[in-house]
Amino acid sequence: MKLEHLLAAGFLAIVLSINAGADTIHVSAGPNSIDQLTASGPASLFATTSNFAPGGLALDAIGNLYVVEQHGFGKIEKFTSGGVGSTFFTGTAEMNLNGGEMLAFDSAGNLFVADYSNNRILKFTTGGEVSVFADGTSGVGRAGGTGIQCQRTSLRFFL
Amino acid sequence: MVGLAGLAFNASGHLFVSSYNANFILEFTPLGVGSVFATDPGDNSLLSQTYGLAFNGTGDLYATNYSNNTISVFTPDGAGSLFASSGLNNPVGLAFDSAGYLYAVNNADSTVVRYDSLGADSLYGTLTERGGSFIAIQSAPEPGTAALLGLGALLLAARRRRA
Repeated sequence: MKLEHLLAAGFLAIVLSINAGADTIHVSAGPNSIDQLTASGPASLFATTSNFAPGGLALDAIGNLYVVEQHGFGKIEKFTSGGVGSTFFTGTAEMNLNGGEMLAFDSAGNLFVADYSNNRILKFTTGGEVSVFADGTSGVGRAGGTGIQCQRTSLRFFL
Repeated sequence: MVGLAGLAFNASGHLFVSSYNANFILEFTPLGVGSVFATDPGDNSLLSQTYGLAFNGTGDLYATNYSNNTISVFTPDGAGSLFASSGLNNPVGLAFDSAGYLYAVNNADSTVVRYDSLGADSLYGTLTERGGSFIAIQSAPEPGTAALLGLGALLLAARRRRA
């Protein structure tokens, strides 16, 4: 390797280190906006949901932002880091959310949703399966979602 | 109705879930087996309409208490204490950034407050709309990682050119 390559590599490394940047903070705010905040300025609008009050937010491993409808049937939308939105999940009569609260991804990329008024946790796999992960109706939590109005692994709702 | 509201995974992949209406935190194994992780002593001092959950880097669980305007912290064995009671106005969402600062979203005044590890608060921002609720933080790429990736790409390019 020539000297100029090494010098160029060193220069690039320095530039990339400097440009690594700060964390990006997203916050849901009513009636249908998601803000972006940085340390250096006021909050700005990052994206607008399709006419629902945004609840929980979570980022997948490649930086897509998921947002759930906090009231109503529990729509979930997905936004790229550039703010381009698409529908991830729409509730049906058989499987819906009743007040979507916090979202969280596990390390395998499954998305979990706190289904507030149904007292349960829903799980969306990367392969497109939605199931009841846990049921909190008893007050101590039960596995498997038995006795809930949808089955554990048999439904598919992804677009 | 217990009103399951907050979710957070610990480093072992266990899911922690807060109950807004019943003031407890549940823990679920990856297979979905649940147990009670923490309860309020009965005086709403630790869990009171608990909403957001977030783990720090050493496995302590933080929780916002919507109605009494506090943040509690729980050690991995479930022992709780008060972390912060300043700067909060019906807090909902909670998240850590990559530097270890904790952020809480205040629903009543749509502000975001930042805490250092000792619990000292500062106003971080005010939202564009009323009704702030949840928060998600995208970590910046590690500077070292970015530099190594850049160096790797350049070495590859140089090698290809020589071949």
